[in-house]
Amino acid sequence: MANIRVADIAHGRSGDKGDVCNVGLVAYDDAGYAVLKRELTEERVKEHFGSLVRGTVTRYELPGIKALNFVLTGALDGGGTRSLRSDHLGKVMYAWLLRMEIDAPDDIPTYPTGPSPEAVA
Amino acid sequence: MAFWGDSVLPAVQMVERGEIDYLCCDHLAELTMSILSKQKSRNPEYGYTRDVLDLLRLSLRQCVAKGVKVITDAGGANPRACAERVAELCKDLGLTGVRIAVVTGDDISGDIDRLMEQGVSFSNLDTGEPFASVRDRLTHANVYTGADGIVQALDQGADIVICGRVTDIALYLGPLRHEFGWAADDWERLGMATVAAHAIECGGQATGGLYDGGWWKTPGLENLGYPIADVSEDGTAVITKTPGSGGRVDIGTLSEQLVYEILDPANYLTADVTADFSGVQLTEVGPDQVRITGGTGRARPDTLKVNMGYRAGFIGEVQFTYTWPDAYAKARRGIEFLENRLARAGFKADDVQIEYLGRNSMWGDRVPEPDPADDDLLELVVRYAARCPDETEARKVFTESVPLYNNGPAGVGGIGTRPPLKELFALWPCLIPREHVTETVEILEV
Repeated sequence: MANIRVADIAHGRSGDKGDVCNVGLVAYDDAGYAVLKRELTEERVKEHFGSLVRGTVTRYELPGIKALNFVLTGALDGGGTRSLRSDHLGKVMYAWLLRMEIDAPDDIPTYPTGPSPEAVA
Repeated sequence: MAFWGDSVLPAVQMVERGEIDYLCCDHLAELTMSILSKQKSRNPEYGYTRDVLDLLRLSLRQCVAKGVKVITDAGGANPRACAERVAELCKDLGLTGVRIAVVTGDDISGDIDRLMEQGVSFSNLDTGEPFASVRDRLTHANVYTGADGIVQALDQGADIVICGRVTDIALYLGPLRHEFGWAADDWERLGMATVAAHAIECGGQATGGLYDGGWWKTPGLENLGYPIADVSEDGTAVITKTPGSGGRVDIGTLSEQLVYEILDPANYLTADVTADFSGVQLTEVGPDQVRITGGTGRARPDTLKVNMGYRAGFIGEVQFTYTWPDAYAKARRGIEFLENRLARAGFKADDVQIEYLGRNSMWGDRVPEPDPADDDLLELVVRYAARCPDETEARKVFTESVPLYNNGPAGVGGIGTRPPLKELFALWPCLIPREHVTETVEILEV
């Protein structure tokens, strides 16, 4: 088994509904989707977000687009309109989930998270 | 367009080059209505999002020439005033025979007493708290209404439909019901079309904006095209964007947007239908063209959501930066200095947030505090923000931070000038049985 980050096999987006933040993850391929479904249980995702999520984590599946949707309650310091956080709308909560380390088969296809360093230089 | 202040030009280009029949524009975020209601209370001519006039000034001639109809919620807290300004604009542009519809009925702020007498509790949907706890601080009360008013307006020959707080989805379902003659209870088609509408309701987020899966491979973000849905009679659609514009439409960009701001995908509640996204499928059918299928729907909820805002105090905020050597130790002492001075000033705050920008401002205590022994820490930006009951308290945050410049620890920069105070509006989510809400359509003819 290999130790990878979620970002190696999926991309994501997050946003707000009141004090609820949702994090959508989209796997790049079927193998990655299977790993996401196995590794990203509600319990483990809640543990990964720690104090950022005061409420619950509920997971939903959208198999036709290889996506998981995580609904995090009590996750925006009272809601986007009154939160004191810099990220009051939860726009980058997805990236914290992308950082999570998970186990995957050694031959799992992985994907770049951004441009190559040479391209930036 | 997806919110007040969003770029106008891509919408203008869509009218010029997009071969569209309807231009659907959402200008309202969750609490834009609080801001608009405040503006209206200061001046009865205000209370709508004025960027709609910028959009129409640049596009209305073409819309009229091509028969493109405009559906918008830019009316906000004052759809009638918005429509009157649009009528004046038509005259300025020399356009005649334009029918402008005003859709109202969403604003229930004047009917609260009567509705409560009739048994509507307006208790908090999330927490169950009684409405009485916020009633005297209410800024507005608007029902998220569905597409019925828009359908009526289009059936009456409207060229421009100006609404208040309709749902974002209704801006799209309205023209579809009008064009295809779908019944208001054609749940499966309405559900499928809702999935397509959700994919495009946030504008550039469907066409490469914020695309985590390939932002670095997305051309022309500065000239992003807004999304276009070519919807079929069965409610399925091909999503594309304005020809020649920047950005991209592919399975990746649309997948990210389909999971944006949804809860249970099988029960996406709107005023018009309970949509089911859970079986949605995407197929690339050409360059920047993706077919969206597999959505469906069930009966709409019996209750409608009410968008209520209430005044929830003010945020007082300051930022300052400490530098090497010992940036972390200096920052800690600077924060202590500020807290002690605030305490001496009798400061009252409901909540305080202290963040180091560039370090832990996004993920809080999931990120370790800086290491005091780290000699390579060249700078640390402190952000201190407090939620205060009133303006006087909120002002103290900056006032008490100013002496940091010559009385506090060495190596501080960037305090700057007094930032504007931010008034807080909080959301009070609640429901109303739909039989209490009646939409009305009025037509102004220029």
